[in-house]
Amino acid sequence: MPRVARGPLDDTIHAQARLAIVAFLNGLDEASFTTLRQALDLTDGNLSAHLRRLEEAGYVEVAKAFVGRKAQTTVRLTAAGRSAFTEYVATLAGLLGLPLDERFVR
Amino acid sequence: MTSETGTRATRDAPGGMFPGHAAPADELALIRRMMEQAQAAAALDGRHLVLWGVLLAAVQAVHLALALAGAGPAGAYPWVGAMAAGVCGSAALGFSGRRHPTNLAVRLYGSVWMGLCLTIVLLFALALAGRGIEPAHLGVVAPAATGFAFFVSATIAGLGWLRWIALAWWAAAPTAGLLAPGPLAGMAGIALYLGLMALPGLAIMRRGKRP
Repeated sequence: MPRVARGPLDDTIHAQARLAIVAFLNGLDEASFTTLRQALDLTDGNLSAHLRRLEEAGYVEVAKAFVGRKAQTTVRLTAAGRSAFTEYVATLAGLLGLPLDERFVR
Repeated sequence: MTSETGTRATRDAPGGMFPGHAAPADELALIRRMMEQAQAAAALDGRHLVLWGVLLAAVQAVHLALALAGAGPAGAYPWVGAMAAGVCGSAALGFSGRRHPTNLAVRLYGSVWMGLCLTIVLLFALALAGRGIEPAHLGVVAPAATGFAFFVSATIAGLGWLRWIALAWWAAAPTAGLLAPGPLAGMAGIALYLGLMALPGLAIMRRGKRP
């Protein structure tokens, strides 16, 4: 049975860039900062700022590690982030009178 | 790092690539697009298939040449080297290069092929030791197991054409049992490894590079 959310849209995800980040991460285990930047075509600073906001909300985890001599930042969606994303999509679908597409739920 | 509305970052400012907010239908379209991009980013790794396909075709050619030269049981030795080189090569590929994004499909695909590889290597070792399986039977079991791995991969990756490759491998299993060892069987083996393992691997690699 399709879920239809009744609550208002989550402000943290409502910004388009952050929605794009969360939607991208929802389809992956994790992604590097570089992969995210290329997929979203954002500047480093802009992406960092959006990630910080999502991290503060507990929606993403940002990990930094050294691979050889290079620093690599990886980002993954937390359980709270996945739940918030699913809820967001359900709310959108509800607004449009559409059933929730199960592909959005992991 | 700049602030959220920093001077360098203007692409998500109103009117930029990501306007502040959009209509619900546009937001759903954005979500679909990003999820499709994520799926494309988590590309399957075809390099192992290319490595093993080329390696096995090469060792099959060496085996054929040795058999024609009357080398006898010594013709089996190159297979030992090929198996060791394949395992080491696959491990090196796995640990080298930058990390690609993964998802459940990519992990399942990797597990299926790793499982197949370890199973075949184990059966090969048992056959070599004269225990558990006759060496001749491995020529039937290996293609059948490879067909199974391709079939499962087709389902996991949503690539219908891989099912045809699986069917070809399954057809190769009884054919290998019927063919008497000799030049024809050797040539068929080389064609099989190149056409039904290395080439699909290349196709999967090319698919991964698609924007």
